[in-house]
Amino acid sequence: MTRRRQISRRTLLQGIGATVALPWLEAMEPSRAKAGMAAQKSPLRIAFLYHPIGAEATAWKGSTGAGQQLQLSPTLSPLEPVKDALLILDGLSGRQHPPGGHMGAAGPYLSSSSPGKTDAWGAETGLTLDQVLAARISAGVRLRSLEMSCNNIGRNMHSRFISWRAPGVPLGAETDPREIFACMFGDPKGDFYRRSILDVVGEDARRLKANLGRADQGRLDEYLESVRTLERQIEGSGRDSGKRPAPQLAVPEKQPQDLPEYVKLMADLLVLAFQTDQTRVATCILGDETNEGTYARRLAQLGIDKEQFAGKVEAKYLDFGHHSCTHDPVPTRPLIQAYDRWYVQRLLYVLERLRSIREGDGTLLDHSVVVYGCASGGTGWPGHGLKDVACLLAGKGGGLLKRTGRQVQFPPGTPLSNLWLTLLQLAGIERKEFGVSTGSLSDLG
Amino acid sequence: MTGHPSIGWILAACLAFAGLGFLSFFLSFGTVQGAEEVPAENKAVRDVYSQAVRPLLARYCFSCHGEKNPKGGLNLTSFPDRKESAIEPQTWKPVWERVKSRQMPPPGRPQPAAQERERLLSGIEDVFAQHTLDGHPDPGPLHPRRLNVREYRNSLRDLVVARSSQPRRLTYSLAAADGRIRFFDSQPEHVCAFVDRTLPQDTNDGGFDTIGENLSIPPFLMEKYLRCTKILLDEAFSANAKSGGDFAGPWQLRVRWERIQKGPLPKNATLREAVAGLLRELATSAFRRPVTRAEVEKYVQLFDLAQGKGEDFETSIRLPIQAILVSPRFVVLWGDPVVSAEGKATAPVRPLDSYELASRLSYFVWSSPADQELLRLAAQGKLNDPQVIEEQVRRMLKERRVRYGLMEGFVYQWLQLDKLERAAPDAERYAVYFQNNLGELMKRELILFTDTLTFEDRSILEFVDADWGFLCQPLAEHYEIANFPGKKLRDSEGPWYRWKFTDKQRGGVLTMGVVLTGTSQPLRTSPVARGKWILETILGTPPPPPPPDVDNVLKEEKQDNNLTVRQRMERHRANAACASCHRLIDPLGMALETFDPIGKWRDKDQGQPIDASGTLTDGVTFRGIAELKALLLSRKEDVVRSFVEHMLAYALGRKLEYYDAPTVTQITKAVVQDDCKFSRVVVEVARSYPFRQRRLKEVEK
Repeated sequence: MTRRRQISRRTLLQGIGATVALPWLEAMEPSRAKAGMAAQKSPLRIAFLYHPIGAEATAWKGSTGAGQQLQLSPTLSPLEPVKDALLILDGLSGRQHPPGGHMGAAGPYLSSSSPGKTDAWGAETGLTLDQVLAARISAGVRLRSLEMSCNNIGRNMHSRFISWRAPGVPLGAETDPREIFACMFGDPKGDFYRRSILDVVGEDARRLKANLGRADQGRLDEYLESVRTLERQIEGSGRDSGKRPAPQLAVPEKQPQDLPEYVKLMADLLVLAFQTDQTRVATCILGDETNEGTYARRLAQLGIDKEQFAGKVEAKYLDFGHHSCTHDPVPTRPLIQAYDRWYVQRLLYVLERLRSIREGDGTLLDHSVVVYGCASGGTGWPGHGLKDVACLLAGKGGGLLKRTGRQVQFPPGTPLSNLWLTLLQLAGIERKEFGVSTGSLSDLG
Repeated sequence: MTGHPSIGWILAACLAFAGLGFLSFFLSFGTVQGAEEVPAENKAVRDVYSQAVRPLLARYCFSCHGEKNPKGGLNLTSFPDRKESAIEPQTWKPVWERVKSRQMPPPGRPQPAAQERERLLSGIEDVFAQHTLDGHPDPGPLHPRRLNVREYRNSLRDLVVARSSQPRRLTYSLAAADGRIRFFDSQPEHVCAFVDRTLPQDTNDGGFDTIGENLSIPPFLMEKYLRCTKILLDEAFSANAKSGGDFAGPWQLRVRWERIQKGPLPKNATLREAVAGLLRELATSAFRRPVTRAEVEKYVQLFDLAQGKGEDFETSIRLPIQAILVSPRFVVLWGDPVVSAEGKATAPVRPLDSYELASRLSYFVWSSPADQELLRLAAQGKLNDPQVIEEQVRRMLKERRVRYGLMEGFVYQWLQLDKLERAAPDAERYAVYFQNNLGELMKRELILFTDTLTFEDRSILEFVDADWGFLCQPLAEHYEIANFPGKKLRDSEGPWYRWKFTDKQRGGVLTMGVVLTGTSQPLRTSPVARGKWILETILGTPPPPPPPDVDNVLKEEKQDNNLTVRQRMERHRANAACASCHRLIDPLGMALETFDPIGKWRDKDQGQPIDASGTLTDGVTFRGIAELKALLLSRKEDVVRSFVEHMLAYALGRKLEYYDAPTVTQITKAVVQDDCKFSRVVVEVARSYPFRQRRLKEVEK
């Protein structure tokens, strides 16, 4: 009941994907030239897609080999068409979950905070990898980074997005596709009105301040600084708004009622952002990571056919949500695996879209790195262990990852932070450590 | 009385408060008088000191804190030599705290009798009471601060959403005789929950999220405020809010603008005037004091601006509403005194004006803005009457808003629910905890209990021990309750019952699963964490943090594997550096050893029988949970005092200082006299001196 109300309140877009699959590339070339990129050389893009609730290990693991001989595990089998672009990384371990368990695992997933350094809720949040990368590789483009989330229910901020500004300070993520569109292609009218509001409240603040004793003025000064910060931001985005080509967008009437539609829209927007070079770094959570029973998505809501489990899973479990299954894992294992496979199919959609777009000497996928995975799962069910979590890379990153199409096994206990450190180094950012890293991974490039 | 400190006092106070920067205050304020002159009132205190306090110090303290090699560098004999020193509150504070928490005198030393201890403490408290600002008691600072996330969320709700759509005051309704709960709405999503997801999280350093020092405004906050209010208005304008036939939905603000939009407008009124009227009403609630027509004009101009650009009514009215909801007059508390030009005021302390008091009451009890009735009383100037305050507080406590106000804000934070919820029992050994969702059910047990205790206005001592509580089948099974009537349903915990406990194994918060689990390690109990929790919440005497060079993690060496928790603790206390504090902490926790890491009753640990006995520093011994509860209840005044201190800190939005001691004592007495009723604490806090006064002169840091 609550869930339905939540979703239907939002006006979601439908079918952006269909209306915007236009040849953007030519339109964007000038802006790339302006950003100082050689016309031939496509820029690096990095996306982090987060798989909610952890992946069940027995079906996720087990990919072997390389090239044509690369055998995909059952969960990864949907990726067969793009397997030459994959780097399947096994053996990596996630960061310590915050108190309260895996549902807060998304918070510290990409965190740079040193071990044990936590926010007010005990989660090891901090400036995240995507933000460190964005500072470098998004230089000169319109949006430093794009934070998206298909998880718009529940109150737990540690489960809803993976981008953080500092310990306890979330960057947040946009859950409304229309907002993302406006954010990418500008909203001059909105900016004008926001500035008018700031004028009025800034005047209020100055008047209050004049009435207060010196020692009491501090908070008002902070408030005014906050007003100025936003004014500068609006000014900056207004400067080049006229030069941006906005795609024609059919105003959607109907909203996606279910997760498949929702994720597809968000995926389309992500690809669009990369294609039009609006940003080069994006993060997105693909679904709900929550233990709030009534909220957890069920098979039907993901469009998974229940019939296929007849005889394999007791009937009573067929109405369990994704999360409930993972805490009753033995009898529900086929269901968990089906949920996992469903998310991997969303990944396939993103990868195929990226590959369908030609850019420079290759495809958009060739110039991107898509990081896919989660911060729990692995071995040690029930309880969402930290060891050997799901993780894979896709795309060649413009040549940074030369030998894709293989599975790589790391020694057990190798921290995910080592991968993050390696990605930073590949992107040309000199760092000796990141988060809980113990070194970089040698076998990637 | 002279009202001015003598020079000797000033010097003493300067020495004592150099760190706090009292120097500039006294220099700018005190009219300096002769060095030898001692004000009469202080002389009286001095007499009490030499007759009542000093002999006790001499008997019990001087042997260590004497002139030669005083322990901890604290020489208590020097105090009376410089007569003025007797009233250095800052110096006395640690003495007072140690004596009160029975850390001093240490065990093995002669202990003062109960009355002697009492006399010593009240003697020191008299000293504290002597600290004044130019003759006024010090109410402490009240600097402007932003609303915390919880308050901002609640405030948006009350300004925009109808009260009838809020969850009820109680989370449940009880079926008649058998105590079965008919309806239980444990965690409804707050209608403005998006605020928690959008704004940066607050810390509750200092115990509560109302501590003003923590509530600064980071540079990016304005962007977040605009985003929050945009989501709010999107929700209010969405198709969903429109539907619902004659139930106009919960969005009362929408109802009001639609009335303007659809007309007919009141006689002789233009659209603009009607809009101005709506905005003025909204601004008066949001800004917490009457807003004039002229003040609202610039907000109305935002409406004009959009209309001039050809926007429709909805788009146009959104602008001024959004501006009001991000205005500093809304998001900053205590920044808008009606007494203007405060900087030039001469009195060091002033009473809050009526509207400030209305807001202080409403943000204390509801964590949201004052309602019509409080604003009406403020307008009539009646709120300063202590009788009126009592009536209002009692009315407010029955309201729905208490749930996300005093309950979520004070009760849960006092019990450290946020930390307890971080429990992470080992998933394999304690699989039952996860399979039956016990963590969630234990939290509900606490919510139901605290709800009832406060709603029925019972004694706050029942937090320590009560013969009633709430259970559902999985919990009853976990707690090994015989003859429990409820059944577990396939996908829920089944019905809850209000249950009468027949022994002391359960009852009160100490024995609740959420507390016992939340203070345990994944695989073992932690008497340290449990003892610390009791000291902090129930007794209000938090142990000092471990010294910096101590490795705080118990070494769990291989050969230790078969040690019971008690044996581990004893090894640990063999270290003298640890023992000085852990002999205060551990015994309390040891009494709870009969509860395992997920709060289940046990008789054995590592195959050995459990010894749940302990000895406190003053030599009192006790064994097991029943005697622990009895011991705590025998120190009723300490328990009440701790509760009062916590609530006062929450209400004032700052850590308590020594000058608050008289207020705390006064409230504690009143509460004990009124059978320790919950409402009495709230009423007395709301009527207390620092709650209703504001320090104007800054004590520079």
